[in-house]
Amino acid sequence: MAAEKEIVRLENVGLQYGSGPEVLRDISLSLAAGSFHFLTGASGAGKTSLLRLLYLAVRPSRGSLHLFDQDVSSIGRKQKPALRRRIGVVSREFGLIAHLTAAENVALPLRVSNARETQIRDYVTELLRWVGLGQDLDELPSALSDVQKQRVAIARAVIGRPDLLLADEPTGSVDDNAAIRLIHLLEELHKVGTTVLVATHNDSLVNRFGHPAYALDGGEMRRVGRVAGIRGARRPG
Amino acid sequence: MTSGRSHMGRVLPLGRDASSRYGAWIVAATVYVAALGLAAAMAIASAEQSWRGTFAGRISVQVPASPDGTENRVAETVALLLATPAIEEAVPIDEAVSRALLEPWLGAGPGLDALPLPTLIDVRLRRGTELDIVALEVALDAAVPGTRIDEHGLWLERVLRFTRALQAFGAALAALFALTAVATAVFATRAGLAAHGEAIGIMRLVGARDAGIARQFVAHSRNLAIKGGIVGCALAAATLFLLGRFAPGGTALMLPEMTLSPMQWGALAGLPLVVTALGMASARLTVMRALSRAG
Ligand SMILES: Nc1ncnc2c1ncn2[C@@H]1O[C@H](COP(=O)(O)OP(=O)(O)O)[C@@H](O)[C@H]1O
Ligand SMILES: [Mg+2]
Repeated sequence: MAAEKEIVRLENVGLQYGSGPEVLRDISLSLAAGSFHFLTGASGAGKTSLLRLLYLAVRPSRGSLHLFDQDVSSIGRKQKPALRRRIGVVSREFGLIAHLTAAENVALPLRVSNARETQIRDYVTELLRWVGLGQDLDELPSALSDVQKQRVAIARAVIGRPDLLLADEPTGSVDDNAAIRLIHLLEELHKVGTTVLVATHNDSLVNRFGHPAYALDGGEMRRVGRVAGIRGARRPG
Repeated sequence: MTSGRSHMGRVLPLGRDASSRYGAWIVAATVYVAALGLAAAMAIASAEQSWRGTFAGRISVQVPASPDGTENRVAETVALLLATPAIEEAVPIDEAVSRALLEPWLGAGPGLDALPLPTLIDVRLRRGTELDIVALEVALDAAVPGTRIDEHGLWLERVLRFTRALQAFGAALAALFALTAVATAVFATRAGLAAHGEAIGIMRLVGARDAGIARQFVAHSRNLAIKGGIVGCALAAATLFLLGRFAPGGTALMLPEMTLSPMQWGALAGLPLVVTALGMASARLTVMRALSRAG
């Protein structure tokens, strides 16, 4: 029953930054609850822009965007935080706060929703152990490697038990082995019911896992399916 | 915080910003000046009250000394004064008292004793009656030539006009510096917003509410204002205490005591609270406006 619910629905969405050209055009897509999708496309295709639409950092300049069955254009400023708390975001730049320790960074989503301190401590410790950083709770981001920062960012993205997890090039700054382990981590979350969307320009990674993919090309959605199919379409022969 | 509530205050290290290091001192300095202005305005108000009590409804009459018996002339003048309907009481001041009053100015000794002093008659007017000062002076002069009236009331009006101007100045100073303290809170908040823009963006990304972010700035502004307010107020109290110690006491200069009542001390102590409340409110407003403008 959960699988039938739509978590995200875009219809003919366009996005412009300021008065510039449309960087996304006529995008329609739907993510069912509990699904796992890749979002592929070359650099500049609009992957990051699409994710920013989904975590409410930008508004569509046309078309309609529904999140959790709510029309985003009709929700006010005050309701946005509640929606954002249902969405976990992992970005390529990690988005860690430099003066906070790994544990404090991970705790942030619980802190802003006023969770109890004892609960925060338990969850944070548990999650940092899960991503393999049980020994690095009190390290500042500057003392961590990129792989470790990435894991802190993932722990933070999931600590609030989001319904939707958006990952923007999570494997972008780590080697292939680390990238594969990272996707396995996201698959574990998917298994417990989280809807996952992973943007990446790394087609070989996408091919390794059997998840459906949306493909962006120059701001337009080209095709839905396996990356192999898209490749074939783009470079016939 | 044993309740285990969250420590959002730690997310933005506002207390470590340069602006907050100087902010507390700026608040202290402004509260100090504001407190002194307020104290001056209040002390002048008290002084005015006591001057009114002392001088309103009173005049004094001077009867010049005369070789052929001052006493008769004084008695005649007193009789004339008491016959005036608007006058309630006329009491000659003992010569010894007059001499004692003059001693600080003229020095003690035989010189002063030999000096013929005019006799002062302290006159209290009847409430609710109108005294025709000019007519009285003419009548007195006709009966006892050389008699003069000292009208404190006139002098008092002039002094009061001056003290009211001083009072307004003190109050304006207090208001101006309280506003400066508020402006400090706004600037510190703006600086904090600019310095921590990235962290604020991350907080919003993970679902922080504007009010939650604002609360950090409000708490910070409160800390600044309380620290600065207490220091500024304590310095002002110390200054007032010292001024009080060195103030010329008493009647010789006809200065009433420039002291503050317990209620006025209370008003002074309330100044940091007012500054704190204003600082918190303006920090919140600044953050909420900036965040809603950021979209
Ligand atoms: N903040 C922005 N302002 C203006 N243009 C932008 C902004 N961010 C991205 N773009 C443009 O939008 C297009 C898509 O970029 P992006 O979404 O980052 O693609 P991708 O993540 O696939 O590399 C690019 O042409 C980029 O230059
Ligand atoms: Mg990108």
